[in-house]
Amino acid sequence: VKKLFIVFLLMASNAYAENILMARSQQNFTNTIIAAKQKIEEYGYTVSHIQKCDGGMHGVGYKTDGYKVLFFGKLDEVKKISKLHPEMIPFIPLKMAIIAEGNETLISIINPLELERLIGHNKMHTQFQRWESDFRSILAELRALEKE
Amino acid sequence: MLATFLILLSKILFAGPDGRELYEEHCSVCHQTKGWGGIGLPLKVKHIQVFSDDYLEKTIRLGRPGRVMPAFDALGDAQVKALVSYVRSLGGKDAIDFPTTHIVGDIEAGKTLFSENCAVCHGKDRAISAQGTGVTLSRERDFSVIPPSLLNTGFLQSASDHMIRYIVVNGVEATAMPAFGKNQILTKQQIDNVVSYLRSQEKVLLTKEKASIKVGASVVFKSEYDFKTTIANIKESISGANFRSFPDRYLEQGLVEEIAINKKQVGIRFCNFESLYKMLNLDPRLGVVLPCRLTVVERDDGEVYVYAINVKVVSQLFNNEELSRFGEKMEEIQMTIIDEAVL
Repeated sequence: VKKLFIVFLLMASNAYAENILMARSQQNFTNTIIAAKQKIEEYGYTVSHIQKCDGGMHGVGYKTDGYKVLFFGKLDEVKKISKLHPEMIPFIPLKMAIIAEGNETLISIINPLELERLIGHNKMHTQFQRWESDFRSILAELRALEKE
Repeated sequence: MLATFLILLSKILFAGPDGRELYEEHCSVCHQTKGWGGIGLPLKVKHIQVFSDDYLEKTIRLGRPGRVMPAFDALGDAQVKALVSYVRSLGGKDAIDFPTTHIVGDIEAGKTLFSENCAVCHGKDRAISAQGTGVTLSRERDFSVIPPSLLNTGFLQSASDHMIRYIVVNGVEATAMPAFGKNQILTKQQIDNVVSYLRSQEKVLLTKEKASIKVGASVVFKSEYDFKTTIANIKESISGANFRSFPDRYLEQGLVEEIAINKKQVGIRFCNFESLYKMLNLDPRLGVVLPCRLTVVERDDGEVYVYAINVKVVSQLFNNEELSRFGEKMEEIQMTIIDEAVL
């Protein structure tokens, strides 16, 4: 019954055409970064680097809320894409922006299907679809985190 | 067991979409969980709540081209209705049913009146007057709304003539929008002229919008120099363009052990914090692309290429005209840097 229920829910879900996929986490900035890293890794990706945009801006006198970008990817995908579709190189590793908003946190990531539209061909459609599905699931799980 | 499953299934099949769930999934990220606003406008305030369901439904479907609000065009009718119903429950005010008939006025006179009375807050074209309004980092939370861009296809297709007239006549409480009719700033005829002018722009703007979609998200340049020289040239060029450089990162760095990294794919990263700060104020989600990276690749045949994001094209993702203008400037600078380095 549980399996059928899950299958039904998956079938009922739609693909929405937002340019940027977003989620609001009820957890604070630091906890959201930790949770995001964990979720990304649960989906088989590796977080290769965290860019501290806030630190850089503070360093030169600009005041900002917490702002970090997580770079992540799968080695085999990076190798394959850079060889077969080098026009995608500027977009890999993938990026997730994490932005503090008070005690809550916003998470955003480019919608791969919209990126596909801007790339201008559909030779990587299956790859973009897989990313889109993974990103939506990761965001849904981050959205569902309870307030700590 | 089977009976329980069938009951559960029938409940799922015949239950309508859950507005709250949809709101939390699609809207709360910008409009905040309880509708107090964030990147997006607060939704529980009276002046938004009195707008008709039709206006809210169309707004969800069409978004606001040139602004942060996306078009949720893949949502089904039932989902949009559930969302509107939930949004309305946040404020609990009754909607006004505006007539759908068109208002007839003097378009040319309306254009002049718009320019004299409205453009200062609402912008002359699709642009908005205030810098960076509508987004997280810069939005003044003391203001319940920001003057919307009226010459916007999303707005014009959503709002009826009578709704626009109602707002112009009555103003908007607790905002800078005066009651032009009630306070006799404009006559009824003058207000109708303004409404007619706005309506006349709907088709014009739609045509322009369709013509402006661009593709080609990245740019590729073949270098006339070897791998090392190309990297050195790019760094020199970046420095000359007043950008700060960061340590290079290999494309595969962090994904594999250091020893196994392909060292013929290197990202040269740079930033101008003043520009980054301005752009993040326009849209904090910019981090999803972070365009300031040029990747130099030596292919198996020894040829060297430079790859970069086409900032002008990718900035379309942010649905923000001001950011797109920044994107065009950035694109020009980036092209100059690459040209100097590879030719």
